[in-house]
Amino acid sequence: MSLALARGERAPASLRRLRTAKAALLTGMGLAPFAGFIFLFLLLPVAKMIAGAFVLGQGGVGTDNFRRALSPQYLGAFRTSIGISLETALLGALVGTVVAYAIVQGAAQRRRGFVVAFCTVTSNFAGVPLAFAFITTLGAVGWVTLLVERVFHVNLYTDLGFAIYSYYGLVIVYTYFQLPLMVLLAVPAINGLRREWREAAQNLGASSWQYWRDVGLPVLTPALVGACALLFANAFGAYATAYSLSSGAINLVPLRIGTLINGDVNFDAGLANALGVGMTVVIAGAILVYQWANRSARRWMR
Amino acid sequence: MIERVVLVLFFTYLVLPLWGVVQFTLLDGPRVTAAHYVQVVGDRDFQAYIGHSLVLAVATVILSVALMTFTAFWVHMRARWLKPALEFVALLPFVVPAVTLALGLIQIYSRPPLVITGTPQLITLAYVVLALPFTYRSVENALTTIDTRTLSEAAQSLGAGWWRRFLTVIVPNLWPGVTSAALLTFSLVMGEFTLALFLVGSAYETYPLYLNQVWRTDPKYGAALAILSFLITWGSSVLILVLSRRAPGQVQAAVLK
Repeated sequence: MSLALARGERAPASLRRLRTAKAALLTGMGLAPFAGFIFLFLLLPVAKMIAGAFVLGQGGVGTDNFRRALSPQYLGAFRTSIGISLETALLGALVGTVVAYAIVQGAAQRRRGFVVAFCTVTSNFAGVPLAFAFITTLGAVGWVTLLVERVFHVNLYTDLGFAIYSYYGLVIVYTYFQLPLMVLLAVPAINGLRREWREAAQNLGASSWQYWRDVGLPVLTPALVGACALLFANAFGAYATAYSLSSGAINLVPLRIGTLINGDVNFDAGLANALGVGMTVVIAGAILVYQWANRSARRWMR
Repeated sequence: MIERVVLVLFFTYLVLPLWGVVQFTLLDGPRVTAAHYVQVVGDRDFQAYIGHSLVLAVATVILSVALMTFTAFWVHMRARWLKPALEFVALLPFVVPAVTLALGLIQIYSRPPLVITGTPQLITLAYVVLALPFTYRSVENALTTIDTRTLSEAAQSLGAGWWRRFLTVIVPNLWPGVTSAALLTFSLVMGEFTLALFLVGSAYETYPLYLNQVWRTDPKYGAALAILSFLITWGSSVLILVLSRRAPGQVQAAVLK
């Protein structure tokens, strides 16, 4: 900073303009590494995927890839992926909220740290290790499967037609990381419910049920909806868990994309790109819901 | 009472599968054994591949923390109006799941001018993208809890130049946020499977890839490796909690699978 400026004198206009230009240039230079990085490794790949979705296998440009991506086989993959994500998000959100409420109400402050740590770890527990944990537990010879057979004389596989690598098996496995994630998201929201609100409602003669219907739930709803959207996106993009569990036996979009880009026989970049665009659109929708809900939730959480 | 029942059921559900793997590794028929864990000691492949994962994790941590701390601070001090834009960009990786990121990266970096698929460099950069939302949140939380402007001006009045202010005044004050970002990123990379599968594969095999390969041929040993992987995540998370209790900051779950 120059002496003239420090003394509060006004520098000549031309000099001031030069100084602003210089400052702007410096600001821009500081942002360049980040901007360059984002461009090369996030924006460019996504742009390439979008552009590639319109490039046809024999050369030329068109929407043929999208037409193929909407064929029954791949539409089915979208339906399964969306179904599994929606079910595990709703299941996780519902049970997670109850658990979070139990934690806020019941657990002493000292134990809450432990619960949060446990939830952080288990919500990050995914992929190959998680698939493995469930195979040793609920697989055809998993210990819980055997235990159920010994105690109830019912075989989950041969009698009930259950399989860990089936749709409902995957729902159980995904819920494993969805549930603790929901707890992590819901605990602060429930914590944000002020005791004064409840007391005020009680003073006005409201029952516990009335309090929840008219105050508690309306205040919590945006935060819970937002969390649910995040859970949906979380499950929709998951690849490793489904891959190692089912080896492609379940028709999911991420697995489809995987086979299309990894296999030598099935290699089809155009179709993979079109499916990738579809996936991005679905997830972007979920994230928009999350952002919107978060903004509404913040109104109460001050 | 009901609360206790809910919590017990919740923990049972989360513990059962873990117990499944643990007892699977410890039991050989009716006999209890630690042999499958001891197997790790003589396994050259394991040592090489966990070495790869450690290299990637450390490189990613250094790169993402350096890039994000610098950029977030720069925006905070010089271009606050860009903050919403930065936040938007930092959240973008959430919209791009690992499979689609891999899909885009493969198509760009496996042909000239830059052929880097299969190299540890490319996957490190991809991991920096993946870690972006978490690193940004942690650093940004830390930035808003300290009074950067006053600190910076105080240092300036004592004659410290820009870099000196950044490295010796701001960074140490951001430390709690930075360490939690670093640990989160570390455990993210140590367990990452999808990008590794598509971007490097067998060219630079990582620990999760090895795990996936082992349990198909030697399930008991694979399970032991899975437990080890869980312990790495667990260790990082506990460290984050311990550190964040000492200073304000936020614990987040890595929601990218």
